[in-house]
Amino acid sequence: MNNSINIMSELSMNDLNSKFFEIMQNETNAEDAANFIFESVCEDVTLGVLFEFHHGLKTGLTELIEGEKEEEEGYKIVNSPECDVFGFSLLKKTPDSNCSCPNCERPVSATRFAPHLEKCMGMGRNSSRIASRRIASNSREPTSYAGLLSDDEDDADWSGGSLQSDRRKRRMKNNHNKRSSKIHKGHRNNNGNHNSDSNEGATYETMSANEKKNLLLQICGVVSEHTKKLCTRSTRCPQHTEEQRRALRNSVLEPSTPESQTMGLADEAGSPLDSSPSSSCSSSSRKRDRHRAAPKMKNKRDRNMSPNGRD
Amino acid sequence: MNDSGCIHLSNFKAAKGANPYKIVHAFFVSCTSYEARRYKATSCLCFACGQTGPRMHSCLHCIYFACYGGHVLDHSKTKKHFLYVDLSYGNIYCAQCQDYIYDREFTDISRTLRMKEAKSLGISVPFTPWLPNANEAMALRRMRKRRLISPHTTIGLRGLQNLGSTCFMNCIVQTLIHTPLLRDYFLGEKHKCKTQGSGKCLVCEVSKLFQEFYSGAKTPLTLHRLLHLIWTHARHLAGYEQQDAHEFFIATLDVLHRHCMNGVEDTEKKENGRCNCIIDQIFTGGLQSDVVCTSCSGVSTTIDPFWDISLDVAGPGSLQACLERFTRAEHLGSAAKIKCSNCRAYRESTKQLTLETLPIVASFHLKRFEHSSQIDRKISTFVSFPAELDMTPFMSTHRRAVDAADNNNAPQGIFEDNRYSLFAVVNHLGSLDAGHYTAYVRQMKGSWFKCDDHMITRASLREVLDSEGYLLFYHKTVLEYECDVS
Repeated sequence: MNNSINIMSELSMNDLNSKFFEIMQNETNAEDAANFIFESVCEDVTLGVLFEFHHGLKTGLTELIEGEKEEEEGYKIVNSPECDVFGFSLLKKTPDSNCSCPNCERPVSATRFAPHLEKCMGMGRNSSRIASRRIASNSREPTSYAGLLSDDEDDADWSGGSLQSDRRKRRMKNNHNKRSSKIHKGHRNNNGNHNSDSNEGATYETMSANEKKNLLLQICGVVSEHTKKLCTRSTRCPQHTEEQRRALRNSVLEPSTPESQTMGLADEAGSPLDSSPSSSCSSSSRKRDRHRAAPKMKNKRDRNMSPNGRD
Repeated sequence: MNDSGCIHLSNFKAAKGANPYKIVHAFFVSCTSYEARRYKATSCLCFACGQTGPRMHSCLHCIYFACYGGHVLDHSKTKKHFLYVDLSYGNIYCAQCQDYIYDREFTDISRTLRMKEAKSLGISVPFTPWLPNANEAMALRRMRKRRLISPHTTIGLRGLQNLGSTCFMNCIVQTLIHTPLLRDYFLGEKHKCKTQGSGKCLVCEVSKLFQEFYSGAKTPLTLHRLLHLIWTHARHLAGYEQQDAHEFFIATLDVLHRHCMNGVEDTEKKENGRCNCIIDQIFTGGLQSDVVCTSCSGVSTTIDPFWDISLDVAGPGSLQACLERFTRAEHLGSAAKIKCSNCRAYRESTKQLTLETLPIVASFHLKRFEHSSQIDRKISTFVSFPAELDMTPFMSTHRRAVDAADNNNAPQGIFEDNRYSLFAVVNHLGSLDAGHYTAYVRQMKGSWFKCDDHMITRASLREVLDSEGYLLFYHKTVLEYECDVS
């Protein structure tokens, strides 16, 4: 093999080709050649790794890249059954913050951002209705937002203010309407349609098991010691503790069924039901739509197989 | 970092410039043309011993090839020529320093010529290790602290604020953030965007998200800009009411795929008619559909791209059983006759789906939600899924071999490795009407976390595998190098 290569440097390419085929006719030569190629490739690859390593050491690049290990102390995972990995209590609600809506640039409560954006972008089921009403009220009162606010009073985020001021407005509106109910569910239907599943003055005694269950999926439900009324704030209301809520659910939904347990769990896991009291979960049909998990699956397979908008 | 060679090389460059190096490299190292390859094949032998090695070098001062087995040294002693080019990689050996030395100018020349070589041979550019530019080197020097990802820290984890029933988005974002190849892409800052700073590019937004996840901050993130961008660019999601995590996943991939094109020149956009954006590189596979005519056995084959596979849930079983059913030949029946191009008539036929090419990330969607005119229901049947999955049985090539009952000639070569490992699971809890999504994600091997909006807690693999499973995400275990020789 080596001898034949020695001769090669003096030969033309044509000669080289014919010589090559002649040599490769011999099986031993062919095997030698294959081994030679394999070894050369191996050597080359090994050399490449060594050069990379040498380059890093010689130029100081390895040292530069490795630097110094950052102190891990501040980032250690918290191992506690009551906390998540960051050390936040599993029972405590995260403090709400405001974010600026990229569509209308108004400050919006983060926990209410999605329903706001839906309306803001005019995408929701009711958006056309809301939009047309807004246009109508704007034409009546072109320079004021007053009409707009009262039109949509379930839409807390439109006020642009804090939740509290919004609540105050609502309360004022409520008093004005002489509505005694503390249940916020009724608010949406200020246009006269009385809410059919309104729970005004309701106590747990008068409700069916199913009604209780549904209600407790949506509200805190703890019974006040003073007024003997149900707390209608969200399932994460700060007024009452998780323990109180759990105790209530255990007593109201007894005998303790697996269902009631799962329900309790779902609450802790942060059920997607709006956690803000100004939630617009008004009618059961609306709620149903909102929390529908997977819409129309017909022909899904066919559709999925060809990613959208691609040829 | 010091890559300015040595005093001997500096003196040489001052006298003769970089041209001698360029010529030696172009002809005998990178061989940028057919001519050059011919020269190399016929003349790269040691001038002293006539051998092809070990480790051939070329003198930088005169025309002289020598092997490292002593003849480089001989030449440097007799001729006082001290600089040599190694002919495998183009590195410089200095006989006075008695070591290889590295000069940035020469390194850059070497890289340029390597690209020329790849172009001349029609192959992809070979791997070269990363080198920092002057700014990057400065940044590395100034900021010496290195943040490491370890199973004991929260680096790479972040809770996501629920924006009002947006758990469907949060679980998909957690999945994307924990997709190993996407992480490498974004933390490597590979997305170069033309619209930079406009706030309109979803890929830029995801890039920012990665920075947030790895920043070490602990407070939950608010994804309001992301939601706005996706709804703006995927109007069909029709907003808030339609909150299926699967639909959101596909829509997000689609918007990302479209926005990836923002930073790409038109000429680079398509390689062999195939999109090579990062989303397609990671998520796109090819689904083969074979329709066989029952009369003439003629086969009509089409291949369609896919991003995920939707599987029917029919009774308790396993993911593998679902895939087995998915790839089984199906008789289309007499009511669905298809025109056979062979028979030129409408015939009954069978249809079989197989996987022609596998994506790097295989996403499975278990169809747990049934919607028909009579009933809408959720199927909570237990479907087991493995931590490690071999996709070979569902490949087109494998199925052909099995059908031919010719297992000895199975075309799957020894190089084919179709193993996948689970890295994310999205679960739907509760009923159809009131539900909640959570995700399990793998931060690193053996380290699982449960993501429930703002709450991130540790999870065990057992817990993950025992969960119901709605969307399952698997990552290819072994990545092959691209070898598209045209």
